Amino acid sequence: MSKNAGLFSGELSHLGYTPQPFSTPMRHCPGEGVKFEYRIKDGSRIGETVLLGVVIPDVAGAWPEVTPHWIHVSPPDSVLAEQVQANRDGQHGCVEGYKDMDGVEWMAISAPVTDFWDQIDDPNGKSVKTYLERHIRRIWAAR
Amino acid sequence: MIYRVVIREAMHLKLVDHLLSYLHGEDSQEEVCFALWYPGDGTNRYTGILSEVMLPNADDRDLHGNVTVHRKYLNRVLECALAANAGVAVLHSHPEAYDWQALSRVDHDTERNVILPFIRETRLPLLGITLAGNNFWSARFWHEPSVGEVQLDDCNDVRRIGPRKSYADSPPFAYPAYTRRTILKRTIDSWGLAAQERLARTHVCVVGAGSVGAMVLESLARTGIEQITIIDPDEVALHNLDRLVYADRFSVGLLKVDLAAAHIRRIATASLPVVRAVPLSIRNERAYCLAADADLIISCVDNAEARDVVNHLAYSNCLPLIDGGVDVDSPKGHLRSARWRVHLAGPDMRCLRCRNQYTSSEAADERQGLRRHGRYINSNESSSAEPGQNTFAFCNLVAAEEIRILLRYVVGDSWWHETNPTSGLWSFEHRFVDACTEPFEHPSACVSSCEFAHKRLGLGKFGRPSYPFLPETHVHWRSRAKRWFRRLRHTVQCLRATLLSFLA
Repeated sequence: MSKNAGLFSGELSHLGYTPQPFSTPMRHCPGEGVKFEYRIKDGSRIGETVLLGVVIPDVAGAWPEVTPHWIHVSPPDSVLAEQVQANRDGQHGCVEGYKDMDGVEWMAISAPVTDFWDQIDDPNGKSVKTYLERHIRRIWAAR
Repeated sequence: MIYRVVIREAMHLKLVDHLLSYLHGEDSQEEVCFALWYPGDGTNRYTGILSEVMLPNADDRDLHGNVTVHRKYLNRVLECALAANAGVAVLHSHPEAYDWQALSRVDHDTERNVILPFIRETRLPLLGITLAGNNFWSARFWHEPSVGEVQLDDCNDVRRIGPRKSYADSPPFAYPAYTRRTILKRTIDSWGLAAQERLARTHVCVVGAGSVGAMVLESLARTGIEQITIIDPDEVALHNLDRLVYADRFSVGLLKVDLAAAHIRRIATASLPVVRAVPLSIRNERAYCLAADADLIISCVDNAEARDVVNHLAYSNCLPLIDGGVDVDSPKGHLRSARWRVHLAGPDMRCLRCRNQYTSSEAADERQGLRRHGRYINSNESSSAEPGQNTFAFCNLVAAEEIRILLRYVVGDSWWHETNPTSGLWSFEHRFVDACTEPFEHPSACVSSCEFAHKRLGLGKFGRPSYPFLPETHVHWRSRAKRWFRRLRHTVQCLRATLLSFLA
């Protein structure tokens, strides 16, 4: 497992998730990452569980300074995909679909943290907990 | 090899406070303390960057006019240095002196025969520093090139880097005397010989020799700067000719750095200008290290990826950084807004990322190839105009602002007074369409999670970016031949143009 994936995975375990190795054939997203079962806490699918996957390619930088650009979701959610594409602003908003090695269908949404991450004014604030609570939650809340 | 020591202003004040704590006593009591230092990234300059001061406890040394240091203090310092992979610096004061200090026999023997063998385990040279009076530093490195052989190298300068000023203390033999020359008469008459000397001896590295960089270089060369490093990997394209002051229509296909270097060598007013052209991206390790040789970085780049690298460079090597950029919004050729911002950043100042000049996400996406020129390249918005609009006028104004900040920083340390509401501000935004200039102050410190101000500051080689440097690409012989032919053609065309104008 890459260093970034290891760090991310360690923090996830600490939060009570069960991270597993994850890799994607996506050209824009090479490298190893982690996938984990995520129980949706907000929005119209509240209470449901999906698989989320994240990869920080080593060329991008080191966690937690750099956050993943793509969020991988399985099974794909067409409503979320439409919503992400509708909010396209030339900065992000791309959606790609693919099957992994086991034939499981995934959807990758381009949703980098562009607003608050660099301005977190807490020495330990850049963490998986913040990423899940402030970024992942708002994506599902908007669905 | 040139040797240098960098001390941040905040650390300088702390050290002066300790080393001169007995200044007002009955005797002129010397004082001593240790500090940790890291080697900088420079290629041609070996820099010791002080990172942490380790003050003695009351029972760590005896004061008797001179100072005797106890072994337990040395042990504590060595333990910390080994844990941090840092070198050890020993600092002592000569309260009654006022200029560069040579070593007395006692100081020499103490540093060479007592402290140097003790800190050998760090595998880094011993850095000896002396404070003369209350503000003049002198320094030397003690190397051990082989067993039993000790080499003493005096530093060329000790730099104090502060938020609004930088000072360089040099030994009398470091530079030839700076004299008044007719070519710089008007400039020297403006701010005096001492200020001009300080300015001329500041080694400036300009990252990006595009439209803004070209104007910055022009100003530096005409102001008499003696050492300039230019870093840019790009060649001149046809669409650059409306903004590049050093290029003409025969320059297309030639390297920007070569043309810029040739141009500023021609116009330089310094007596012996040294211009180093580096045709590499700042993301190459060699370019990064050559940039670290400089005393000040001027960033004229147009992307988040490069800004992130210069931010690393400035904070890990404790270098002042001046950054500027233009943002033009002109959908369908209608100029809606044009604004440019110029910042002074560096140690003990807010970094470029905390000033929102780029985000870590943008920089990461550019490194992955997902984003270019401020836009995601997998975006389907092919109909929109290509970003990067700019004009010669806008570039001129940004370059002028960058030079203005440089002058304030190097020459005018007393100009940053607080009484004028705008004189102490480090960031400026100009809005062209609104005809509005707005200086604004960021909080002086980065956010507490910022890696630049807290984790990488002053770490030198250990503070490099966490992502890999770009490999240097091998230039194919055909490309080299093509470039050589273009250079030849450029020279011939220039000669022809000169000849024609002469005949006319």
